[in-house]
Amino acid sequence: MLAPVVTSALVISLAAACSSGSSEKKGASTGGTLRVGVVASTISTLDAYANLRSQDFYVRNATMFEPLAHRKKDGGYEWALATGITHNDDNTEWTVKLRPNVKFHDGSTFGADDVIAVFQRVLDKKNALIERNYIDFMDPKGISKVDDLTVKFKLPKPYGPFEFAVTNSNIIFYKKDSKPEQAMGTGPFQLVSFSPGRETLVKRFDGYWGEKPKVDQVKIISFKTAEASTNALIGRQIDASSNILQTSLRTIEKTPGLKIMKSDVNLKVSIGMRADTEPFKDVRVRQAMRLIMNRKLALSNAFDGLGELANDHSGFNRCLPAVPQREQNLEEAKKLLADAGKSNLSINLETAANKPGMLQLVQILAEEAKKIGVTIKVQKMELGAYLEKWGERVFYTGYDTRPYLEGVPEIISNDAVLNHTHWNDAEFKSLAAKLYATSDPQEQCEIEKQMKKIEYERGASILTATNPTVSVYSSKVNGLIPEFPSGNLYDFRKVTIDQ
Amino acid sequence: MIRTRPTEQGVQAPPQNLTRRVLTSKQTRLGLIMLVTMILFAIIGPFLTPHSPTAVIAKPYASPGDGLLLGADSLGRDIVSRILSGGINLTWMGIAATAGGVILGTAIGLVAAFAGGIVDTLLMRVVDVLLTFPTIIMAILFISMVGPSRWILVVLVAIGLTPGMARVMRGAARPVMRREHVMWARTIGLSSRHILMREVLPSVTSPLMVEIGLRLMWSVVGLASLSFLGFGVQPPDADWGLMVSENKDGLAIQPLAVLIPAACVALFTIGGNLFAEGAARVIGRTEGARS
Repeated sequence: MLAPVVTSALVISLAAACSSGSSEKKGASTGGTLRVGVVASTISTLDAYANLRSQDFYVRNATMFEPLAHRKKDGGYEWALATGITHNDDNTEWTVKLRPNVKFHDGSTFGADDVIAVFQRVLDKKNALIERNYIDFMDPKGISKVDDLTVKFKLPKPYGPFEFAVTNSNIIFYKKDSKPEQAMGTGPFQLVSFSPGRETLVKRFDGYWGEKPKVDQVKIISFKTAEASTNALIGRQIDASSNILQTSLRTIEKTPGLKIMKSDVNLKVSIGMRADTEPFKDVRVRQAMRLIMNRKLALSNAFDGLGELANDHSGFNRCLPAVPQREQNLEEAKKLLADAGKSNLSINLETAANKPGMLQLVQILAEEAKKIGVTIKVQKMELGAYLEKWGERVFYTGYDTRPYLEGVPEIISNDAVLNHTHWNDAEFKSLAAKLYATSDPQEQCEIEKQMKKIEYERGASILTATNPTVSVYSSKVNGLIPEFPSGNLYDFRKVTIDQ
Repeated sequence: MIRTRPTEQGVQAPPQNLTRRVLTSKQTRLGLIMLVTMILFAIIGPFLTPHSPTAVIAKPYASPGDGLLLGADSLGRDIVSRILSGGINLTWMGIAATAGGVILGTAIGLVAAFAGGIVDTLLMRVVDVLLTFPTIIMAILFISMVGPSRWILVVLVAIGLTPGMARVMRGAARPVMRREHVMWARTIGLSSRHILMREVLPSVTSPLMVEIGLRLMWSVVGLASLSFLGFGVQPPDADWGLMVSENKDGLAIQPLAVLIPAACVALFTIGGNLFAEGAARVIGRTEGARS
């Protein structure tokens, strides 16, 4: 049922997909400290699960904790803490086999109890964790230990994409009853020190079950803005970063000693329109905003021509609906706004400018809107202050890197932090229910197409372009791999640094 | 930097005379010319732009040519148009903030000097506390909390200017309080407001003029820095400070988009500084001789 683990397949597929490819090199020396730059707010914590998170959280977690399996581009899995997942005929009982001889950073053994504890915590409504949306088809009482290395999940009703759900890279495992600040995981690196908003230092874990990392330490350094991390890279204060300013790529190309790596397209910078408040309550206003955007100009000038045009629906290059590419149409936009009685709309657009091209994108929208008498005032905010009111904002920027199956639960959630556009569409919700009942990929794809068409027709996000993640790293660093699907530099196991 | 010498018995020159005296110095004349030129440039500039300063009309960092005299900035907008329209906000916000700070600071300083005793101590301790906050940090704090607004910025910069202003004005006004005309006014029971406005304020015009010049420069630099840091004028509006920050990544490809706005801010402030410092020097030199 599942594709077997072929480590080399991962490397080959990545090399084929990335224009610069993975930077693996043989015979490089080992040791040293890798300094990775991330754009992060000051409010992140060391807990493996938290609701306010920025880049540092993901990078840190990826070094210290592991999921059951890593997803692969071809739809298969590279097993990590699990070694296999089986199910009964009607998709109601799933059995997860765990990897034997896996040690936590304190030397104790990983087992079924730890897995059950994590699932119980994620499923507990009181904790209000984002991950619950990926697995809320589960009944916490239905999870039971068969033996130390086997966990059985009895579901209240059939659920098709079980493996997909539980192998979410954010569902990671720590030692049962350990404290959050211990960060007691099984990952290839263990915690040395952490200062919120500044840096995290991790070192190689010698008891790691898999191939041990070659570098001694990884230092994850937080920056307030992409400008700052880009400048730090150019100034050689850091060795690698996935949070760089795309507008400076031309400068970086000319800078000796720096290399650029592009992943597959996996990022959509979105402009959200809160669908339960004025003026975006009216679908005509939302559609008008989408028609105002000059997508081609945005792709070439805000995103430096990296990536492809997007069509106002989420998800990436699989299962696309049969709708034409939306183009700028100011006449139509003007008419829609007039019909809605919002001809001289004036509104603030808030952004933290925390992704490449974001600030440029909103400026292009504001400039195009001006042509039909709509005033959009751009408000650039500090990331911490911006995130505090996440879920309450009316016109704002965000970004999405998730596969469709994972994004949908958030779009249909009743929680404002997840469904930040407050979009609520009955037909979309009923299709979503069908999507998760089937385990047939073909059928899933057909349903996805219908759902994306609804998003295209009446959704609440402006999705202009789909971008690759562009990372920049020092040419002294070898073996960096863009993680699938995020395209970020999370995996440092194969990294070596030339001394 | 300020070398005023307020003397106990000094008789102040009337303002016309002060202006003439100040303009005898070459340095103040040069400073004034630079300052006035930059203010005029900022005010008239927006009417002379060849393109809209916010229109995206070329590739990012396009080279000069195709009707763009200096090429395009980080988003593909005309650099010339942005430079021409980038000074007006800075100018009005700078002047407004200075006016606010100077009025508030002078009021506090004069009241403290006039009242003396516990009021003086209280006001000056509050001023001391305010002095310990760096203006830019305070502005960033507030803007982070309430979101960017030009008027809030003006108010914050004005508050930032107030403590220094209050200290100087109190220092200048204290000797004046013991002069005969002030004592006389107090004896016959004129209102405090009348004494401060009619008797004390005219006697401290010289330090006040110098302070206005200096504070204007501080607020211009402060506002430009805040825009550079992303807390001031918001994109897509043009602003010299913001332009430096927007285009700094393209410094290697398109240096003019950074250098010209930076030079504009520099000329503005250097002009103002030359003027204020020259004026202070002239006043310091002539005040004692005239008393």
